[in-house]
Order: sequence, then C-alpha cells, then structure tokens
Amino acid sequence: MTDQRVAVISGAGVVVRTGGVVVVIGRATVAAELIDEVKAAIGNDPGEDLARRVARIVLADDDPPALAVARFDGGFATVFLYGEVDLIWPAGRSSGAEHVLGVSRTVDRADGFTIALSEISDHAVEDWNDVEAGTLRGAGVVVETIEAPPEWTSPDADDAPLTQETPTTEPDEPESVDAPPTAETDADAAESEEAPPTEETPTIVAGAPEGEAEDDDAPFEAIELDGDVDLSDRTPLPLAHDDVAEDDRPVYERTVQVFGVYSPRGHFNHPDAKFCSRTGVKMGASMTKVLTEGPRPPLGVLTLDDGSTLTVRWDTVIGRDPTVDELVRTQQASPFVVSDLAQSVSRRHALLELINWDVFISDLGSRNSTYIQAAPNAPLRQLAVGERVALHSGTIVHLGKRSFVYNEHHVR
Amino acid sequence: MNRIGDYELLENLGDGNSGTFFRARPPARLALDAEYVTLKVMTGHATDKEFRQVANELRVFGAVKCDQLVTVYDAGQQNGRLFYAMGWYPEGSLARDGVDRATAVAAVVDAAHGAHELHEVGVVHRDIKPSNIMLDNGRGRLGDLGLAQMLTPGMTTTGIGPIGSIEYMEPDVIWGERAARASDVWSLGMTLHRVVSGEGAFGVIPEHNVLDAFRHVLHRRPAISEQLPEEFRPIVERAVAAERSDRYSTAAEFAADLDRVARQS
Repeated sequence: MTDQRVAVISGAGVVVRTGGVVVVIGRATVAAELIDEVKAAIGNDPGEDLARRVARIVLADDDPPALAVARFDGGFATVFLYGEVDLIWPAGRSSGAEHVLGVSRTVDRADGFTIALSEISDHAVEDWNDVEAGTLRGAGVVVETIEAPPEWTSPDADDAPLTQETPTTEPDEPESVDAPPTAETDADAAESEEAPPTEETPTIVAGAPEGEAEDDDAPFEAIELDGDVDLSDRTPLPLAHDDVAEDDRPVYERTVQVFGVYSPRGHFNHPDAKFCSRTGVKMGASMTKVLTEGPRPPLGVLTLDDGSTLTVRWDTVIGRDPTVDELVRTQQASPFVVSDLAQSVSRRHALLELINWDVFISDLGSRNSTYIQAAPNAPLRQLAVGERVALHSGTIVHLGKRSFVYNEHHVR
Repeated sequence: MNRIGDYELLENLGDGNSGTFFRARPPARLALDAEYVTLKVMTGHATDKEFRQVANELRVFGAVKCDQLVTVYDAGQQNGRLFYAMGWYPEGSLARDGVDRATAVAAVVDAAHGAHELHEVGVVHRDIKPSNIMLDNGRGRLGDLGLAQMLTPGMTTTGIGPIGSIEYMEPDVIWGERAARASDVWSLGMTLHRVVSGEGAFGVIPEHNVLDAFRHVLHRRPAISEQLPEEFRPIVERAVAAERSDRYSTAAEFAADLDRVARQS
C-alpha cells in the first residue's frame, strides 16, 4: 500500500474505503445501515466473490445506483462496475453500462487507474490526502503510484482516422523496419518477439516486466461471461442464404457483373476457362460457350506465411489495423488484418482491387513499402506509391516482415 | 507458458482451428465449483477491438441457455493474446476412439440442437466437427465457435490445427460464400458420416498443402462410405446436398430426422 495513494474525486456520490477495498456508490445519500452492511460484507472476507457480495447488498434496491467495487489483489486490482460508472486506466476505459449485469476488469495496480461516475467529466483531485479508511462524499477515486507516476498516454491518440488523401502520414507509428524484406523470415520472426509492443495493446507498455521472454505477469483484462445478455433483439439467421438482400450487404460485398461463361453445372467462369474453377469439371466445347454477363465469382486465394488463407472476392485493405482506412470505413473495401508485433506492417499497408477478372495490388504509402516477387527466388520489386500491379498465381507479396502468396482460381 | 491472465495452465490439450486448448485451473475470482476449465488461447495478436468482438460473440454464446452447448465462463486478453474459459469435459470429444454408435449419434443430435439455438440468435457456428462435440454424461455439447473466421470475413482457414478438418467445412464457404445455417448443416452431415462410418466422405484429404486440400474438396462431391449403415444414408445425403436449398433448412430438422432414425435402429 505504501507506494500507492488513493484520492477522492469531488461530486455527488459516496466512497467507502476499508481494508484493501474501495466502493463507489452513485447516489448522493446512502443510508448508514447500507454502509454498515457493505463494510461488514467486506470485513467478513475480502475474497474473490467480494464484488458479488457487495453488489447483492447495494443492488437489492428497486432502482439500483451505479456501483464500483475495487479490490486490490497483489499487483492487480479487480474492479467490478455496474451502471453509469467508468473505469479509466492508461490502456483503456470501461463502463458498467456496457453490460446489464455489470462488468469486471482486472488492471495493473502499478499503472494507476480512475473510477468515476460517468456524469463526472472533471477527474481532478485537489487534495492527495490518502483515504486509508472511512466513508466520504465523492464521485470516484484516483489510484496512483507515488514513486513512479505513470506516463498516461491516450490510447486513442493514434487512432485518428486517416484519409485516402494522406496515405503517407502515420504520425507516431514507430515502425521499425526500413530494409526490404529478405528470405530470412524465420530469423526475423524471432526478432519480432522482442520488438516494442504495439499501440494496439497499450496494456503491455505500462506493465510488462522488462527483458522477460514470457511475461506471465503482464496485466490482463477479463470479462466474465455470466450469460445474462438480452437476446430478444437478435435476428435469427435467414432460412435461405439468399435472403441477405443486396442492399443489406456492405458495399464491397455487392455483386459485380462481368463477362464470362457458365459451366455445365451453372458456375460462372472466366471467358477463357477450360475447366470450371469451382468444380474442376471441363467446360463445354468452345462452340457452345456463350459469353454473357454474370456475377463475378471469387478470383483466388491468399495464403499467408502463417498458413492462414483468405478468399479474394472483394476489394480488400490489408494491414495491421485496416479499419482506419477510408475505403474500409465507407465499406468500399473489406479489412484484412495481418498482425505483426514488430509493427513492420503498417496499419493500412496495401490495397487489393478486383477489376474484371484480375486482382491488382498497390501500396497505400506504407512505412516499409510493398514488394512483390514472381517466384520464391525471383528478384524483389518495390511498388512505387500509386503503382498498381496485377497478381498472378505464385506471386509473392511482402508487407514488412509478413508475406503471402496469391493463387488465382482461373488456370491461364 | 504456465500461466495466462490469472489462469494456471496444467496441460496442453492440442490445437484447435484458431488456438491452443489447455486444461487450466480457474482463478478464484470466478467462484466456480469446477476444479478445471478448458482454456483456449487464441493464436496471433489481437487488437482491443477484436477482443471486444470476441467477448461479445462469446457473451451471446453464453447467453443461449441450452444444455447442448459447452459452458463459457470468462474471456480475457493479455499482451494481445486472447483467451477464454469453457467447461472442462473429461469424457473427451467425439473425435476420440471407443465411443459407441448410439452415444455418438445422440451427441450429434444434441450438437444439432445446440447449433439451431445459435442460429436462432443470428450466429453461425462455423466449426462443427467431431473434435468439437464434447461428451458430457452420455450427451453431447457443441464446443466453441469459429471465432477467427468471424473476426476476419473471407478468412477460410487459420493456419492452425490440422488441415484435415477441412473435411467438415462447407465447400461453399471455402469457395467464398457467406456462412449460413446450411454451412453448419453440412458440417453436421459430415460429422455424422465420420462418427458413424469411421471414415471421411472426402476420402484422404492432402494435408501438405492447403490449396491442394481446398481443390480436393471443391472439385469432388462427398462419397458416402459403404460402412455407413443404410438408415443414415438419406440423412447424410440431404445434409450435404450440393445446393444449400436442397439441405435441411434448419439444424433442428436435421436433429429431428436423425433422432427418429436413431430411435428406430
């Protein structure tokens, strides 16, 4: 306890602190009996189901108040939130209102955290008099480590939307690789384990012990799946898959009409197809082939270096966090996440575009650029920004330290 | 790794389609009666957004009150590694040897009921196969969802787990169609075929190369084994019909039909 201090945020609510437990109740006045009951419940046994016990007492009310119960447990604090009360820690934010029965979070004590009623926007603390024990008027608490005040950085700072017009700006992204990719991907992958953590999981930044390969003690976050979710507003799946109306799909998923030929079994194929790409069955004699307009089928498959596969069916933005891309935001392109601890892959790295029967790749102004290779030992070719290159079966694409191979369904 | 989050990992149970399963000791904060849980640690590095998506999907799964689904307790993330805890079923799954036919068929009926309940709340399971149907006191419980595919539309395989499990994956989904009720019905049919006949309806799937495996299942129709008793044949045939519209329209219909046949035999 000595390295930690707890201060109360002013506002209309009640803060109870006793032993290693802090309770915040979102009500201007709380009956003394209730406080006594809460304290008794805590004093009894500050064990694991403490939040449950306290919640049972406080939430017995017909109109239960917002409630937060924080229990310090070794290097962690487990915080139960119910109703309009928030937990803010360096790496994130959570509200009791996220779930009808409240949520439970575990945070690293050393990082510090704030619990505050949602209606309170000013979390300033005037007086750092440590609240050792007692019942106070307040809208929340700030828990801070004294010796090493944590550098609080907003987890959202890097999440500002990037637009198509500014593809090269990835402001503070500490992407580490400048060299073009080499064939030594395994060695590179091993290196990447020690690379600085990404901003996607800022929890590591604050709490991970340094220089340890296995940081079992890194902070974690857990959500109990207690099963009481309102399912009444869920829509059953349609009985026939075609029931998903064209207009209800994301834009990128909508059918694109192209010219081609139908196989004997009714699969739509490339005009030059000798075999149906779906079934492998021989197409009809060329005399009987009729070029017609039809829905474009999937064109190929990407196989990534980790063995995962992606069907190439729609325009797709590939990257570490492609949802920041304008095309993805506007549903013009689907996102495909290629995770990379070393951050050598940009958040929006490359774009796959389907034009007629061809798939093109272009670089989206990524930090480490996009390289293609016609075959495993072929020379690497760096894509210029704005350059669009067609992919063929066997083309290898390198995005930072990650790579994939494209294979098209149509055999040329 | 012997710990993740506040779980103590006791035994590596092997890889599933998107992660590794462990027998683990649950943290006291869950206040479970159970001594063990099955903990799945997902492969790869997830963003916070993905964690929320996974947790939400699992919450829905957990909220479907149905004895034919495994119990889910808790979802967490540490260092971007996602994990979630499910019930521990020491009797194992339908993939193990020595399950008698009556039990296996009853467990597939149960799994179909479980899948139907998910469908009714808008969720496609995407990962029905023998190793994902757990035995629990002689009944079946359908295991966890194909979450990786849920997170990444268009992703067909995750690169984790045996390529052979493509046997149970609807070819339409491999080809690039949106997963639907009919996808799970297909998987139920292939699972039934495997557990009753002891053979796969796609023969030997090439395991060295995922694209060859894709081609194998895309370019042929399932061939029903001689080992499959005659009474199950029409059920499998209808479940794995080439056209989705020719299959059972719901998993519940599949369950009812299979249950009827099982009672007669």
